[in-house]
Amino acid sequence: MSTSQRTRGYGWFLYPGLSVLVVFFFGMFSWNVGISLLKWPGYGPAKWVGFDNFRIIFENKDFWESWSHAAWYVVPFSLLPTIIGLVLAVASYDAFIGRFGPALVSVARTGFFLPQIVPIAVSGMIWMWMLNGSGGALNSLLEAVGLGSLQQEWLREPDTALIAVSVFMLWLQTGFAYVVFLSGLSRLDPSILEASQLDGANWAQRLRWITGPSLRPETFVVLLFLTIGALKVFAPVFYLTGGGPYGSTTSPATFAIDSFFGGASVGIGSALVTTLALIIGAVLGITFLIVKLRARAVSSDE
Amino acid sequence: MSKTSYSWSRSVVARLVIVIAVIWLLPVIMVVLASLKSSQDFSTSGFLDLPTEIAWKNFEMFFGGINIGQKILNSFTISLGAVFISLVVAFPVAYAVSVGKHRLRPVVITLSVLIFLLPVESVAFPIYLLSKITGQYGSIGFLIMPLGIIGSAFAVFLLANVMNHIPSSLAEAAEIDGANKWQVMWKVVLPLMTPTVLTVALLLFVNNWNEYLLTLLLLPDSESQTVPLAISMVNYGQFGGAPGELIAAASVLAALPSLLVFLFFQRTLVRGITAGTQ
Repeated sequence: MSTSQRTRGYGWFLYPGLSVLVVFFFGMFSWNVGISLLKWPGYGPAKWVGFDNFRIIFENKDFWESWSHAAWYVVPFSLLPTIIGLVLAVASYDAFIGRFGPALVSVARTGFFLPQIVPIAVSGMIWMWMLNGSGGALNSLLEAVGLGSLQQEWLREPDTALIAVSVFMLWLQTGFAYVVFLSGLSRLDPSILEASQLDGANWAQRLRWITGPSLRPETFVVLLFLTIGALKVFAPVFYLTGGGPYGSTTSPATFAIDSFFGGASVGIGSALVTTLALIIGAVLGITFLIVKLRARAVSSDE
Repeated sequence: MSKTSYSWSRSVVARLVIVIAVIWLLPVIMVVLASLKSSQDFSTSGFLDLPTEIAWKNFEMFFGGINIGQKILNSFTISLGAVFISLVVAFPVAYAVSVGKHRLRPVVITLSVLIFLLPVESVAFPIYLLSKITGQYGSIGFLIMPLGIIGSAFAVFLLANVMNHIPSSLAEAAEIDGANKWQVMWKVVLPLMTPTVLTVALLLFVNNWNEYLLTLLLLPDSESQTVPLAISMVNYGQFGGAPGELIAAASVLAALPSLLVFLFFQRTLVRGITAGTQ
């Protein structure tokens, strides 16, 4: 009774901010959905065409190609950073505790996390410069170690460009996973690890049976955030290759933005981003459903 | 015996991690070195050689040619303005659903996660149209609004998560002493939340500083351009295929504020990111 009285009257604090968020975001989003039903060059009169734009994009092979890239990008943007970040974090935790101390952790954290802080417009430029065919750092390095025959115009060939974008993504995202896992490990009781070490468990066994399982919540969040990030990736592609050469590195988002500003109809662009948002919404919805069902299964087991 | 072999393997692992971290830093190290080399030096030395003498003139030209001072001011105005809007919108919402235990809490949290995970591209074009319709296209003030609101979704999520740990007895005690909810928010909750508010502000600041899409869409004039975008033009635009040492100097200038924020507030930033995932 007293609780319900106390919790009354917070509406004044909740509704103004909440309505700004909801009205703005869903207003803009519905507007976008509306445009996706029009044949419209972006100015002047528009014509209602229903779901024609969606039919057009589903028949476009460049659309499917951008999504096949998106599926590929999940690996360097989400899976590999999660795995490498996890292994590095566990290794740091094991190795730096005790006599190496926090100074080294801070060096490692700076190294891995810095790519998250530099503007992508800038780091894209740095990588372009490193991967430049004539006199770029990578080619000079290959030359110096006697692998000069492997020199390439890395960003001008479709295959190597896709690999370059992927490595760039891995460089960008590993720090996020690393930092989250490192902080998750700080929750662990060090005495459990000590005990397992005394019992002769090696590094891999500890990862398999102790550190790994205890990081399950972090792994879930990192994988979810990064997978969504991979599906909607824009800046790393846009600033390294612009989707080229010959559309070999497009993502759904760069393809959509190109359609808005390079194409004849913004209706097509809107249909593309609407599709992207719906797919991400579906991924989120399914994930939460699975989490809910599993939670229910676990609680009915007990 | 086994103890020694264990700490030996431990020091190998430690060294390995540090080596990998340094490899991760190489692109940044190379750029900083290159930015300090004269064009002669740049073309003859290796990528990891130290500059023979420091060529500050690489940086000087940005203060003349593309008027970087103006762009720095633009970036600060946009980034700070949007952070302010995000906090003003988000803090009372987080207060109501955390300290106030408002029954809409699950809805609010789900909505804020949904909004910050959905692609900005799906609202970008209508925002662009809105700027055209209202005659605000190209205005820095207009850009601050959507940036601030999008940031507030993230702020609600993080603030509400952390604020939930404030015991409700604190608010109750203050109310028994005659404080109203407004005073509780300002005088009890805000002081307790200052570290988190600072963290959220820093994260949003870095995010806004590095923002590319809306800035690209809404600010066509070079007068109102932000630092990262003006700098990326060095490569494509007016300096088309500029010499490497100038591209490097430009990169260093554009990344500097975010880097400084990171180096000084590393712990705070990392705490914020991990608070968002727990």
